[in-house]
Amino acid sequence: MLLIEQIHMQMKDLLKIFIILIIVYGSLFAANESKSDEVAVHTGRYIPLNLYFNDSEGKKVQLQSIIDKPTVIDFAYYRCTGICTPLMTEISDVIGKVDLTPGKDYNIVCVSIDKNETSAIAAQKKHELIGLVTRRINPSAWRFLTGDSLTIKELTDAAGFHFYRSGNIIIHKGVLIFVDKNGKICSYLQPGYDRQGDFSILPSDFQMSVIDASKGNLTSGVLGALQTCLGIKKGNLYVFFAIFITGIFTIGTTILIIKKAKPAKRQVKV
Amino acid sequence: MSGETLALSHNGHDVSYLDYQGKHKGLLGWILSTDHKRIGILYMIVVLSFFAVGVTLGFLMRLELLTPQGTIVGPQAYNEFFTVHGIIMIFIVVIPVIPAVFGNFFLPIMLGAKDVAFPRLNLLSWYLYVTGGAMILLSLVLPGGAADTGWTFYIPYSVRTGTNMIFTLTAVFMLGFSSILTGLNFLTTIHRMRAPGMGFFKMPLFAWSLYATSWIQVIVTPIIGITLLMVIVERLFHVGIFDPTLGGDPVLFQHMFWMYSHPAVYIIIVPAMGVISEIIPVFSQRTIFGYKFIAYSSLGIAIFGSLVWAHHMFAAGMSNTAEFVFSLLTFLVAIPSAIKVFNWTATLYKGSIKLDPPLLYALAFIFLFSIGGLTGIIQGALNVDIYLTHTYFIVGHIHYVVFGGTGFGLFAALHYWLPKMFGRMYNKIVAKVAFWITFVGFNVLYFPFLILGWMGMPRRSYHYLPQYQAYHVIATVGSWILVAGLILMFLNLLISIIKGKKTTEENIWGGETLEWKVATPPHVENFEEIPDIIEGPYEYKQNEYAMEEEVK
Repeated sequence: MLLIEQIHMQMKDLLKIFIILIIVYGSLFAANESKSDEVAVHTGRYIPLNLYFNDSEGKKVQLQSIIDKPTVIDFAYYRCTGICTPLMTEISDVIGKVDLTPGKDYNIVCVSIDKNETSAIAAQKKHELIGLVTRRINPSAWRFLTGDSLTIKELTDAAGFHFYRSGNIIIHKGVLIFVDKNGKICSYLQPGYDRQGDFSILPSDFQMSVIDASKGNLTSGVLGALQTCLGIKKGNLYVFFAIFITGIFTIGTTILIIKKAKPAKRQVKV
Repeated sequence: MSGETLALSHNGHDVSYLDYQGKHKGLLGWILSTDHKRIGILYMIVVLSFFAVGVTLGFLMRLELLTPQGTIVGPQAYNEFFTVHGIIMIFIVVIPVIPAVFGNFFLPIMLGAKDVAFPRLNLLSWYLYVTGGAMILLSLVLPGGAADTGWTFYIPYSVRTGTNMIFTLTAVFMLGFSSILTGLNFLTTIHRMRAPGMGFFKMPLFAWSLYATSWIQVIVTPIIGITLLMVIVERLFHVGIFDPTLGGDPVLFQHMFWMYSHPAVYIIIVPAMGVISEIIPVFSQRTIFGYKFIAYSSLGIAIFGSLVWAHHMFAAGMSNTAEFVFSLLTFLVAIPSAIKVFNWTATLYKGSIKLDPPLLYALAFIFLFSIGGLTGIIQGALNVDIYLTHTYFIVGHIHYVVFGGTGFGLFAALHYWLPKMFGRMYNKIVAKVAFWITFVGFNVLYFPFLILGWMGMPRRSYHYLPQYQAYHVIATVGSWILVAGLILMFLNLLISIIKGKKTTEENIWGGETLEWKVATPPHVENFEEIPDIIEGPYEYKQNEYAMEEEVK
């Protein structure tokens, strides 16, 4: 009986440990899930146009009313000290370089991924960025939205855009998402970098993505372009050494064959 | 060059290689033959068939680009089109075509030999080549689809694509193997089987060009073989060699790929230069100007050409020092090419020029290759290359070099040597008409590429911004003209082979090299007796004396 009780106790302990492990692993897994900053490519899918956000004037607007033509969506937050402002600045730069007219040929929508940001902050950012555009632009062509966390998440999840909060900052990627007038995701454009390390969007890439979105064409864009720092690693120099040795061997063997091999004598029966 | 005797006995060996029936008859008599001439013809049939496939794919790509948005195919199909077009044209057509077809057929004859050094190895090369080519074609129809990475197989595309990549890489590996064996065969033939009295500087320049080419083939082709094997290993076993997500280095792949593929450009172009060096003296009846310079420049191209690979990678990320060095070497490699062009034009000066079809194609070669070469120099400048490297300028440049150079070199060779090979003459008027259509079509097709590139049109794109459309339309119309010219040219040649005017004249064009001193078409044994060589290959003394008199 005592033995059975002991086994029973041990089983209970084991069960407790098992449950604790499940919770720990589960929470770790959940943490990993929620800590993704990847961009999943959802081309061909639709973003929900029935969602409501606040615009920079504090009015409630439905996405449907804004996305009535090809639209460039930039998920950012306006007080970001990292990549958001450089990317939005690059947008203001590229607007002036392409042949298309914002408001006529396409719209731009920046959506704050920070639930704590207000319309006033959005308005300040809008004023700052539109001032940088080198061509005349209808203010309604570039909208700056804010919203609550659920609405933001519903939209970003649909777009495949993942982010997470770490202290005071939000970790996320910088990418432009091009949708057609029905909200269909047509392409993702990941900006490159210029030689100074600043964001750089090629006007032709931007313009082509808008044209594709205007026709509802799905393209791969340049998302996933290799952002690795390229350059031969020193550890790989052995490869060049191996090639050199192989080359010497090849030349040696060839000379040996040339010198020593016996050329075939012509046989009449060919 | 004079032969001691070329008289043939009547012991049964003086029959044309076309009519000879050896151990095997019919089709087997061809596909099991170790006769270098028959192997040359076998190569010609296969290469030109693949050329037709490559042209068709190129034609469809141009049709796709007629309008800014998709015209006939989507992006995936377009990726496959330009990949297979590139693989076929580079690895199956232009790399082997002149050495494998005309080198096989004429090198032993030009050297005064009865065959290449290793005839069986020669036949094995052809089988490897056909197997590799067939695998490329199979990849088009097998589940998974044709490779879509571009002919450069860049990482990470080639380790991640779901298409028949391993199949394609294996095919290219086999093609490389075939190329190495051919190179080895030619090197041994040139070193060991030259006729008595034929020193290296009494060899025809075509033989010199094959000599330089063969060294490149033997030395650098193993690099691409090993590289492609490593990509296969990486795909199969996920070993981190080139894939950055596995700890590999994508730039390493680019270095190794271009270590082969840039010298391959010279494997492509140098034999065509050899063809031009044969044609120019014959059709101007002049001793070639600067024989030794042309011969040494072939070696110079081979050596310098093997040291400039990284100029394809100025935008990939290298140290500034490396970029500077590779840029400088790129400028240097232009010198031996320019030497050749200078010597050809100097040979033509005051020559008795006969504007027959071979010379027309040779002149077109000089014109088109000069544009290709000079646009290459432009890209050798670092700052310009950064802007141009991903644009249509590169596409225009490579087509001017490879098609304008080797393509027109091939057409020149066909019009020069085909009557000798088959003993039948083509219709020269039709050949000239076809030439002009082809030449005009070529320039209408490819020159707009250079302008498009300068305007910023990105390459490898199945659609484009509307502002580029005018030039794309011109280029597409050019492709129609070019294809019309090609069809006319090949029909004319094909008809001549089947029922053209028979000719048994040994020296059809008035050449001085040995192939013009044997029977037309050549006999099985080439020579009944191996000739003694006492003079150089381009001794047009009568003409030279006349010129000297005129000068006096």
